[in-house]
Amino acid sequence: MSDIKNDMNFEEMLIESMPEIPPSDITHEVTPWRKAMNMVLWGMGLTTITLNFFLLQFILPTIGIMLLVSGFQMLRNENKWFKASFAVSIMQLAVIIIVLISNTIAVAETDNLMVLLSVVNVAIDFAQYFCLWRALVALKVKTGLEIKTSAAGGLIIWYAVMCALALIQYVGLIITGILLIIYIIVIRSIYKLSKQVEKAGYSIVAAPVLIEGRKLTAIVCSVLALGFLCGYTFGSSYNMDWQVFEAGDNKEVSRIKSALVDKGVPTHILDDMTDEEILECKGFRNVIVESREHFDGQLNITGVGIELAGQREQWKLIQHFKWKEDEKFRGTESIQLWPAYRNFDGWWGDPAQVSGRVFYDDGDNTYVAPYHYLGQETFTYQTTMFGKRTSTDVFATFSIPNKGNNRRGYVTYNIKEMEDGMIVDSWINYTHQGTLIQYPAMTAMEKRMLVSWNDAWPFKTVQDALQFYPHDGKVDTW
Amino acid sequence: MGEREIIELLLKREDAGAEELLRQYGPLIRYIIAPILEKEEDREECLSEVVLKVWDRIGTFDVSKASFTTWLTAIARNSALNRSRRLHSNEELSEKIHATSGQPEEELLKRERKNRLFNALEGLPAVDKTLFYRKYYYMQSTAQIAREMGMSERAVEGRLYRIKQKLKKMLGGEGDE
Repeated sequence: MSDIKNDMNFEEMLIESMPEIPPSDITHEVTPWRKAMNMVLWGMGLTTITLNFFLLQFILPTIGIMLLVSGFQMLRNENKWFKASFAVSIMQLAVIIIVLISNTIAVAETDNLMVLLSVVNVAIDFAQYFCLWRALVALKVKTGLEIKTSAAGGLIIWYAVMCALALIQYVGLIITGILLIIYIIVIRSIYKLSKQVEKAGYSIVAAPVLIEGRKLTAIVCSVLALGFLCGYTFGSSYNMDWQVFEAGDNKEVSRIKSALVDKGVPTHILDDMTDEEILECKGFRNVIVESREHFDGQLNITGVGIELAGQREQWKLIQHFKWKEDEKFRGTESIQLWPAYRNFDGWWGDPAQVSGRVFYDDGDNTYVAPYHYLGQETFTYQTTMFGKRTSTDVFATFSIPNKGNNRRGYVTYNIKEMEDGMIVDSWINYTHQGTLIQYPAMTAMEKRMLVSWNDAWPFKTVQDALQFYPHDGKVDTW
Repeated sequence: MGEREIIELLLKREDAGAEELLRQYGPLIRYIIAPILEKEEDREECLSEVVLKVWDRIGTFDVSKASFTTWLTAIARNSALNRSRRLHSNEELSEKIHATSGQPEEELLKRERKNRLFNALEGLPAVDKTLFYRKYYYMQSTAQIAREMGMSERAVEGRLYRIKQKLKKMLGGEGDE
């Protein structure tokens, strides 16, 4: 026991007491090659395969690239190609960090950056496969052992085919299935290759560690956490041009408003409209008002139809929303308008003339802002039954601050009769963001453009329609 | 050429077996010898000695006891240690498996200690066990262990210290003195 207590004696005793033959698992593990190559192989596997669920398309490549950095770091002194692989893996890490952080920014125009990063990423991946192939060839030359390096070359060809298919947007299952099988064969060949290299691997002198795996993970996680914080803080909401609202004192406008109120149009809706919009209603003939509540009574949407004066039948349609006080606004909101002239050819309208504003009250002041975007957008979406479809709709996008109260807004446009006896059918799809955290981040408008009616986190969409049937100078609700 | 073919050639006493052994397993043998012998000339002599020993003892190789790589590792390590000790003193380590020497009581005590250490090591996590064998079986330096396990030298030293404290406790010492 006294031997054990003495450090020097304990060391000697340990050396003396080691078994003559080490366990097989130890001789299997003790090599300068295995750990590094295992990390490289796992890294290659995780960065190449894409699984589009549970955010695995982001998590797995990130882990894979960190493994590549750690693996190539250990091999970097072996030959210039391993050193190049190490440099390339650091570039891969930088690119994926930028991509991951960019994905938290919903409102910035990052599309061009993403395209650029995708191109850079493909180039880097090719460089990585090429460097690995050359590094193995160099190792083969150095050791004089029989090593089949064709598997690493096969990986380059496989990746080139994958890129070509992505470029032509191929979505068929047969070729994808064949490629998946080829990929498994290539990875298996590389695994076999690493086995062949094992004997040669003993001649490798591993390079000193620049950064340990745990430290690398901690740094990457810290950078991502900081980037995500900035992304969600500064990139979730539109920068709105809020101004203090000042009501006009035009007497003509007041007279028209008063007449419309008498016909049942809510005062708060008329107060939000511009003087020009009210003046258009001078001499109006008919009025219809429909109001509904959504999101368990949190959101009120009121549709107003005002038949304007003139020889030809024409209507001003207003779709106004108003939130109750306790709702929180986490990012972006969107209104998708399906105007009456879109739904029935019997009506004519100009998409460029759709107008509207958003408001909130804070203390004694009312603040008003134009929509961040109000205009027509053409977009393509995927349907389960009919494949790809294209649609052109009017969108209004905005953000509302959580301070203040009485948050509200409207869209309005005019329609003219082209054919008699047609119903008026004007729809809005209001998309509300319920939570701040979403990944990859998108705006309410982008969510709506996916034409998904799934109300899962973080967006919810409600539909509301102003529908009526004008005939013989009367208006019937429909 | 595979492992089995090399063994068969060696068993048939064909020179090609030794040549292939040196070509394919030379890097392994050099890797085992290098941390134990400092001078290049000692290493080269030791390498030749190992090949000769393998040539002589290939008949005793039993695949049911250990893999060829493990068997070669043991021969290379013990040859290098013997050479190192010869260079520093007159003591020599036996290269035979389960070799015995000295008085029966002393031998029993040694065997008991080996068994206890082996059992204690088996209870360690895989990474700790590998690290320990690298240090006390392969006699690798902290720097080499750190490079090959992707750790910093400080981390290796810290981990080894904790393993030793754990083993001290397990083997009857107090640890954390």
